Amino acid sequence: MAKFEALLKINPQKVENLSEYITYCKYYFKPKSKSKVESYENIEKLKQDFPIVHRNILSDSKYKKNDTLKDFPLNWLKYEIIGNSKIKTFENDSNLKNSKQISGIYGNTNDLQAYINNLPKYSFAIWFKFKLKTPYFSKDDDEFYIIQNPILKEANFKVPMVRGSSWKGALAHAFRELLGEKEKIESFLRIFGAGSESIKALESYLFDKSKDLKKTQEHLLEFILFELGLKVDKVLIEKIKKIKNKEEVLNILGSKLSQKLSENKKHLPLEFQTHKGRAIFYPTYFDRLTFEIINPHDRRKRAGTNPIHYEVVPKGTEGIFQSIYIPFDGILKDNNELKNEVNKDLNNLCEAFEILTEIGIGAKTKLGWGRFKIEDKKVCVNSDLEIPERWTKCQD
Amino acid sequence: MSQQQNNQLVKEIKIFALTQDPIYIGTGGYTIGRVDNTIVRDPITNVPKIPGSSLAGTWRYYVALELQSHFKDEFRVNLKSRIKKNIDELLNSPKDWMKFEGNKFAKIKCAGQDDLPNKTLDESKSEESGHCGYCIVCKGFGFSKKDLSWQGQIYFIDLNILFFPVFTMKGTKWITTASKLKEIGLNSISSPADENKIKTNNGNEGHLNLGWLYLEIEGTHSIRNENLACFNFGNFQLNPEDIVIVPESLFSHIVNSNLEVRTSVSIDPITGAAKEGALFTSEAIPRGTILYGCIRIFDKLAIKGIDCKIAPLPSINHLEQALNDSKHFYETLGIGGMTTRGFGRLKIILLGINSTEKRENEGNTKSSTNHTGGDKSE
Repeated sequence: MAKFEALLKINPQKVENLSEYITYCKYYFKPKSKSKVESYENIEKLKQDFPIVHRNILSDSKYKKNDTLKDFPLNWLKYEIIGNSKIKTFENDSNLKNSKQISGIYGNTNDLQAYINNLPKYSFAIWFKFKLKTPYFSKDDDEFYIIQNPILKEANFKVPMVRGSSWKGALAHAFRELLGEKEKIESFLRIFGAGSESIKALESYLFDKSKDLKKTQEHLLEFILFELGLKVDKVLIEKIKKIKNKEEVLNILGSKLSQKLSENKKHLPLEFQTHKGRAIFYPTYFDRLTFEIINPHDRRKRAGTNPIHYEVVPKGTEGIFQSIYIPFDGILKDNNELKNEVNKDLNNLCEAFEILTEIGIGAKTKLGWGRFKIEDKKVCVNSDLEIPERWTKCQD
Repeated sequence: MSQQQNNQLVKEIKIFALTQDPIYIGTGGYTIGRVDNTIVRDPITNVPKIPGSSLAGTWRYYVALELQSHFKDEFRVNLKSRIKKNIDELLNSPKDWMKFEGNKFAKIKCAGQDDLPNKTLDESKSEESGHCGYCIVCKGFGFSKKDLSWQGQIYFIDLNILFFPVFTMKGTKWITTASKLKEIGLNSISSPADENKIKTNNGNEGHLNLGWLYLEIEGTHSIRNENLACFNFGNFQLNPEDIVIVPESLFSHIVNSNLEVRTSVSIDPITGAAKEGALFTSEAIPRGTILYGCIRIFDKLAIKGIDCKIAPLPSINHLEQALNDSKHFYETLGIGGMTTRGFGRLKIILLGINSTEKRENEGNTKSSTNHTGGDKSE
């Protein structure tokens, strides 16, 4: 298949848009062997097309066959390709536009409102613009790239992004900080869904599908500790260990986790059964790129060892977040009950976002990366829901 | 079949779908290869697809959901209170198809698997669970009760890939083949003569990389904007410049090597780090893929007279409206797995074509629609 090999001839001066930049980083000319260099049209043209090939490869007897990334002049890439501004912007890039349009991300809230109006009662959308306070980074799976740490990009459009799954995971993590009250635990399970091993084990014991009490005890503890991240004391552990029957399981759930159960109900609430979450998360796309370098220091010499390059979305970049909440499982619920639930969920979600801005999204949040500021907070509703403080209705 | 079509007993609706997110419809099993979770593929061509059964299952639920959300609050939960009322009184701002008289007994449980298949049709009327056997959902998609089983009036066919996005040095291009274009009625387009060459809109770029494949451009294709008018998915419109025609033999290779393959790992909420042994890879049909297929609706009004138990029956028109009014749920609730975390959303366009018109078209063009014709007869 030699004829299909992608040896791309790109002049860096011509790198104008995102696709060309990425193609350059992905398939740049690797002078792996002399014959490959020799078969390039001519050596002057090679030097012109790839100024990085600065050594005289043909006469260099020590030329390494396996040119590693270390030999690649990344500063040259940063300043010459990304540009003097050190930032590559591509707000007019067709791939960015296409991926936004295909993903159904609304540029303004009018169209979003129209869509929400078609959904079942008490559905709502959360939409906001945010500005990165620190760089955003999340590593891409792509193994063939000029630097070790390319930023996560859409698979076939190659636009830097935050995946819907990242948003969901990060928000669920932020939400756990709120889980002091029983009601919020129910809200958490409604929004994000439940279907873990622990929930399934509890469910099957309570619905007589299994009689394995020991497994139920273990999973109950695991659920409280690992999934909800709640504090567990000795008393509770003892209590769970002593469980003998279903009623006692329900009692513990009621006293620790569920408002609904503690209000004298005898059956496992829907929230604690396997179900899909009500919130749907959309991806976010960014229109800028740059590099950051982290240089670990030798503890003894106090000097940098090996600089590590990261392709990041720089601070100051704006993005749009969008999420739609559909209470599809509430269709058989009483109106007031459903409205009550949705109001709480909406409030809690908005609170969780405030926490998330401080925790940050993506990788290296410990270094302070991924923090953002929410700028234009909107909620689109199709019924008489209470809008949380500091958020505005789409129609306003 | 031709007799039926001339009698307008069958209505065929063309369906085009744009994937707004990667779509994951798993096979459930494992195959040997680099990914753990594989998706459904056509067994012959090895190209991924969306099975008709997945489409039928989700759509059934979305029609039921749309119908339920129009019931007035007092009737939505309480089934028994509906019995003495007229259907018009039960609904808030109903559309035509919602006024179908059987809808009085509709419940959300008419979607999904029947919980109570051993009840009779009459008993199911007032049950809280199980298919009711009366509403437009049960009649349209089928049901099976103790005393009566009914095949649905709507037939779903697999959605196949028509345009598939691939990243190239010139931006993202959508690949397709000449035979696929023929199937949607663009007849004048021919495959590249050489099996290692491709056709683009300009035809003069020299070479183009489709992922890792570096192929020579043979010449131009003749797709124009007006041919693509039906692919207007809201804001997104496919352009002739973005289309590349590849040889039939390469299509499956290019699709399979450009699927979205994702390595995922479960995060431990306590440590905030990856869990041990929880790493897995999955593949998915990528965002921006355009699929096509068709839905057929059979008018079974004639049967109404033979078997009075089954009356009343919804008309083709009502069933079509029901599908059309509930298709927007695919843009949020989606299809397949992992739909709440950025998977499975789909934008759907339905193009109604009258069966007789369709036949005339086929007659005129004399194209190779034999196999599609075969698909249609069931």
